[in-house]
Amino acid sequence: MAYILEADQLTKYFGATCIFAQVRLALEEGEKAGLVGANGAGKTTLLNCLAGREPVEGGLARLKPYASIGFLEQTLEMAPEDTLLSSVMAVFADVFEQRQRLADLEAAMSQAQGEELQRILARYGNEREQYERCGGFACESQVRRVLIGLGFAEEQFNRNFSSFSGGEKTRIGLARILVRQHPLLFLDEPTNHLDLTAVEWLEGYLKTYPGALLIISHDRYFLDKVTETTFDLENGRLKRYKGGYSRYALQKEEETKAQTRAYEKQQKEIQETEAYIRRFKAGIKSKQARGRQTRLDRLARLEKPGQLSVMSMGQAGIEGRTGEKVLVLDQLSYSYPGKQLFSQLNAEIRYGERVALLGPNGAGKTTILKLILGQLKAQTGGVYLGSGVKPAYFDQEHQNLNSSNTVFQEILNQYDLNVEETKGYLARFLFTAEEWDKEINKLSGGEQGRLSLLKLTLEKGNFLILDEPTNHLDIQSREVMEEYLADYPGTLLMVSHDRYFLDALAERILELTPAGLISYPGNYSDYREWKERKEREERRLKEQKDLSEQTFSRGNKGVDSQNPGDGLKLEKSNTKGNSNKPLDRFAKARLRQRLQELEKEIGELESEEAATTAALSNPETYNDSDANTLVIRLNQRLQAIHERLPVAYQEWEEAGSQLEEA
Amino acid sequence: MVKHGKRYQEAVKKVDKDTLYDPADAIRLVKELANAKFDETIDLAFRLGIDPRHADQQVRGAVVLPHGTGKSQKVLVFAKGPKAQEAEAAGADFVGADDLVAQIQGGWFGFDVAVATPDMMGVVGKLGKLLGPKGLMPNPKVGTVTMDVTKAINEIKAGKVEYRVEKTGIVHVIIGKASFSEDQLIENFRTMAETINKAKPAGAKGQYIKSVALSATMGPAIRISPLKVV
Repeated sequence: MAYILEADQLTKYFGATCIFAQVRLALEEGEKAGLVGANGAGKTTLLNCLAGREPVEGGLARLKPYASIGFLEQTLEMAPEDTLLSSVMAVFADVFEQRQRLADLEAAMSQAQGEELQRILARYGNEREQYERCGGFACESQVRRVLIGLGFAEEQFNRNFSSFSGGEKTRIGLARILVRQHPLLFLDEPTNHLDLTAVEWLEGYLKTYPGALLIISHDRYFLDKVTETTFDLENGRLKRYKGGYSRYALQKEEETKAQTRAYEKQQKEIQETEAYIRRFKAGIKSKQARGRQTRLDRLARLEKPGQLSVMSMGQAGIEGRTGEKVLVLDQLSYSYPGKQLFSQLNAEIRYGERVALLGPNGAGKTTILKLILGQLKAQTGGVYLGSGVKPAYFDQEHQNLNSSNTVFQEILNQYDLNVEETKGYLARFLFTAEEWDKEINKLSGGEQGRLSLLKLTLEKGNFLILDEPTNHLDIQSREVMEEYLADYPGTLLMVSHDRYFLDALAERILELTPAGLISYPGNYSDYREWKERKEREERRLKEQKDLSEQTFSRGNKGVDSQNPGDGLKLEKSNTKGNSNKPLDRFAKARLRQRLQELEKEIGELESEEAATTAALSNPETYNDSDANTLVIRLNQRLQAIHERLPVAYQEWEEAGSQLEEA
Repeated sequence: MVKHGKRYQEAVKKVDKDTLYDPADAIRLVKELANAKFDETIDLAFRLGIDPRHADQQVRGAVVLPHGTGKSQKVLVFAKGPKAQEAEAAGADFVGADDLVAQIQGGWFGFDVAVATPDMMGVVGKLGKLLGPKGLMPNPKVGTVTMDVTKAINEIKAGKVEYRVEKTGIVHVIIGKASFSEDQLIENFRTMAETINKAKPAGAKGQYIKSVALSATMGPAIRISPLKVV
C-alpha cells in the first residue's frame, strides 16, 4: 500500500518550548487514524505542520503528488458578510481563478489570429482539461447537493454565516471539505457542537469515505467506530498503535505498566551499583568500583513513565446568595430575518437548580443564553433575572477571551489578583510557566477551554450559564469539571450534547421544541426514558382510537342495511369485549394476520433503513449526476421510516400481548 | 439486483464468461445476440491501467470511424458572418450567435455536438455552467473550437466519436449498430483500438490496456483478449 502522507523527523518549537521533536508519521492511502493526547499536547499544531500551514524547525512532511488535504478546523472563521453559500463556495477559489483565466483566454482568442491563435487554443485546451478535472463546471450544483445532504434547506443558503449555531457551523465546515473530495482529510474535533443524530451521520459518512483520515477527537466512541489506527502524542513524541481508541487505551496501559516495571528495576540496579561504588571506591576493589562507575555513566537511563497532570478547579465559591427566583422567561420570542427561532417561551429557574437546556442544532439554545445575558434583545416577551443574581457565562466559541492578550495578561488584568495569585491559578489549570506568555490565539481549543473555565471560576458568579463546556476538553479535565460543578452551591443552566456530563449534573431538563419548552424533573437518561414512554403511550392511545374506528366501520359494513342499529351495538359490545371478554376466533385470526403483516413490514423497514443510511453515508451518492433529488428523496424516505418504525414496533408488541392474553 | 428477461438470459448462456474472445469472433457473437426489437448500438469498453486523477495520465480525444456510428448527430455551430454561411453550407443543423446563446440560456438543448469559431468563444464562455456538465461545451482538444467549421461538421456527420477516460480508468465508446456488417464493425473496432493505443499517456506505467469488453445495448458483455486488440 502506498503512503499518502509521510513525515520524518518533524520538530516544532514555540519560542524555547519544544512542542514535538523528531516525529515520524506515515499514513497509508485510505487509512483512518485517530490522533490522541492531552489538551495542549500539540495535536492541532502537528496537523497544521503536516498540512504545511505552520513552519517547522526541522524535518519534512511529504504529501503524495497530486494529493490534497481537506482541513476541518475546530472553529470556522468567516467574514461577517459571508452567507452559508458563499462560505462553502469559497473553497473553490482556485477553480474560480481558473474560470477567470479561461474567460480571459476566450476573450483573447476572439481577437487573435494565426500562430498566436494556435498558441492560445493549445493553452485553453490544457486549462479546460484541468478545470474539468477539478469539477469546475459542476461546482455550484455540487455545493447545493452537499448542503442539502447535510440537512440545510435552500432558504438558508443566503443566511448570514454568523447567524448559524455552533453545530450548524461545524456542518458548514464539513460541507466545505466534502465538496472537494480530498484524498486526505484532517478533522480537528469534528464532533464538537454536533447533536447526536449528526454525529451518527458523520460516523457513517467517514467510515465509507474513500480517502485517508486523521482525526483529533476526545470522543472515544466516535474514534472506535471510525478509526483503525491511533497515534498518541505525549511529551512531544508520537507513537503509532494498531486499532481504535479502546485497543489503544489497553495497549497504552500495558505499556505504561511495563515501562514502570523496567524503570523501577533500573533504579534498583543503579542504587545497588552506587552503593557498591561508595563501599569499594577506596579499597582493594577500587578498580572494579571504577569500572562500575564507568558502566553507570554509560548506562542509558530510562525515563520515568509520565504521570498525567490533572487540572484542579479548587473549591467552588460564589459571591452572595440569590433570591429564590433566579430566572424567569416570560413569553419570550426571537426570530432571525426569515426564520422564527422560537416564540412565547415560558420558564422559571429557582435557586440551586441544575438545569440542562436541550434541543437540536440550530433550535436556538445559544440564542436563549445570549438573551439571558443581555447580549441579544428579545423581539417580544422578557427575560428577568432575580435579585442578587450574578451570572457567569462559558461561551462555546470562547469569545470572552481577548485573543491579543497573553494567557497571563488575560487573568491578571481582569481580576483583582496579584502576580503570585495569578501564577497559582494558572498552574492549577495546567498552564506551565512557558505558556504564560503565549498569545490566546495561539492556544489550542482545549487550552482556550481551560482558560475560559479559569475565568468562570474567578467570576464567582452565583448563576453559571454554560454553553457546551466539555467541547475540546480531554477526558480527565471533563471529570474534574464535573466534580467542581457537582459541589457548586449556586444555580446552573447548561447546554451540552455530552450525555455523560448531563447525566452527572442535570437535575432538571428543559427541552426546546417547536411547541415551546418542555420541563422535566430528572437527569438526561430519566428524561429520555420518560419521553419514550410518553410517545409509546400516545401511540397506543392513537392505535386504540384507530382500531375502534376500524372495527366500527367494519361492523357497519357487515350489518343488514335494514337494521343499521345492530352494527353500532356490535361495535359497542366488541369494544367492551376488548377489555373484559376473550377475543372470538375471528378476532384472533385477524390479530394473527396483523401480527404477520407487521413482522413482514418491520423486516422490510429495517432493511430499507439500513440500505438508505448506507446510501446516505456513501460519498458516491453525492457524486451522482442526479444526486440533488436523490439525496432529498433518500432523506425524506429515511424520515418516513423513522416515523413509522417505532409505531410498527409498538403495534407488533401490542398485537402480540393481546394474542397472548386471548 | 437487476432482474433480466428471458431473452437476455438466453443470450448469456451463449457467452463463455471465462473466455477471452478474438475481436472477430466477439463481433460475430455480439451481432448474433443483438436480437432486440430495435437496431441495437454496439458499445466498446476499455479498462486502462492509468490513474485518471493525475494530470499526466489522461486519455481524451476524438476519432472519425471509417463507417460512422450509425447515429445522425445534430450539429450546432456558433459562428458569425462568412463562417456562419460556411457552416450552413457544410450541413450544420443550427447556426447562430447571440440568438442561440439566448435559446440555450432559456433551456433548449436540441443538439448533440456544439462547434464554435474562436472569435465566438467570448460569448460561448457564458454558457459554461449549462453546456459544461452536459459535455457539450466546445473544446479545441476535440476539434470543436476551430476556424475550419466545414471540416469539423463533416467529421462529426461522418461519425466522429469523442472518447474520454472516466474517473475509474474506463473508456466507453460506440463503434456502430447491430445492422452494420461484420467487416464494417471490425474496421471501426480496429480504428478505435489503434486510437486508444496511440493515446497512451506518458505517465502510464505497466500494462496499458487491461481488459476490453464488447456489448450490444440489450446484450451481455463479451470479453476480448487485450493481446489481440492491436
